[in-house]
Amino acid sequence: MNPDTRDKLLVEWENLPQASVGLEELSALPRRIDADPERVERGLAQLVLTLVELLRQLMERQAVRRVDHGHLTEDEIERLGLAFMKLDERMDELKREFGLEDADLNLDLGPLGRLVD
Amino acid sequence: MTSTAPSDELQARRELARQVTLVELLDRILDKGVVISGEITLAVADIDLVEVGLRALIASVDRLERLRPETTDV
Amino acid sequence: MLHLYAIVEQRAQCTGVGLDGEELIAIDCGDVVAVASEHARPLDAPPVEDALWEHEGVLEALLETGPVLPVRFGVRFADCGALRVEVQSNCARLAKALADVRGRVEVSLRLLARDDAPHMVDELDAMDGPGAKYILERLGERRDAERKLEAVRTRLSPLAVAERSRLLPRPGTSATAAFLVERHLLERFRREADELERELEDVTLVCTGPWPPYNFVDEPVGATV
Repeated sequence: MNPDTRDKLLVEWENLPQASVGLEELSALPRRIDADPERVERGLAQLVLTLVELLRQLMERQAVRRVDHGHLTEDEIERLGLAFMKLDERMDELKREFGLEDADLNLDLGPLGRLVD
Repeated sequence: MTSTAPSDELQARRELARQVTLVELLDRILDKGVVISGEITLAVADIDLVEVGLRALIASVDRLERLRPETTDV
Repeated sequence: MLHLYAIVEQRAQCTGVGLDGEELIAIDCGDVVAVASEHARPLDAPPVEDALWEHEGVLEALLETGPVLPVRFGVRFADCGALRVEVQSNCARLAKALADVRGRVEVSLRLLARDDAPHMVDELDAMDGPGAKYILERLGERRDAERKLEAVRTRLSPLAVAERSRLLPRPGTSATAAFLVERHLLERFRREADELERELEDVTLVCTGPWPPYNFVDEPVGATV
């Protein structure tokens, strides 16, 4: 194996990216869902919430695109925004309930994962 | 003798370089659909049904999204 | 069980070892050749980082000897027969794809947002409900990302054969772009990207490569055991 394979940086960047980028989270390998029978409920929640989160992101992107194209009335924009805000809050609650972090929901579910990411 | 500060930064840069390169690798090398078909093994009965259902769901959403591609060609 | 790495043009390209130190095997499939390795025991799932780099290492070694269609990690077949059936049925498309990437490599650009400043849009002046603010903030973020991506494309697309990009793949990343670049232009491309990185104030460019042309070929082979 080419020993340089892991070092593929072509350009040195001048300023270190901010910590908020969260590269450790990005570079986490796919996680096995918790298979312990006693924690099946948490594993299922992880699966379901990941799907919901991906769909939420997909829909939010669609909504933003439609606002961009000028296809929505002010009222529709306000209502959509509130709905997404509520969904966002609800997701946070559910994550807390099941003790899940954002990184736990980073399952990358096939082509959909590619769309959102 | 070099001071520790510059070499700490060098370490940090190297670590960051390693992480970003890994991110780019993962983005390319993993067909996440393949991963999911093998990896989600909950210790309950009928898990194959869940897997199959998930793939069908993903495929149908993917088909929907393909109608409005975001990628562009030069 | 066969673990598949890539589709190439010639048997001769296929030398060395792959995962778990297993010999690489060349399997003729009509006009193209599949590169695989044989494994008695199932491979780790999920894959560990080292295994992914080993797989990538095989691809990059192949890339030195001719065009390569990279297959993603985890595509497996029960035996040569099954593999051949799958690949041969696609062989015309694969041969064409190989010709399309001959002498070319992929370079990746990732645009990382440099600041957390809220993004403004004109529309926000007229609407001040909390829902509108939420959506319009995201719209501002999107337009900002578009602008940054456009700056990169304007500068680098002239040096590339093709380009694929994606906006806001995740928080913190404004955009990712993959460029298909002629090998002999790689160094020029790198210099241009380097200059651009120094010039751009509101975004950090992460440029990596050369990669096998993952983003410029349709999934070569998709079957799993």
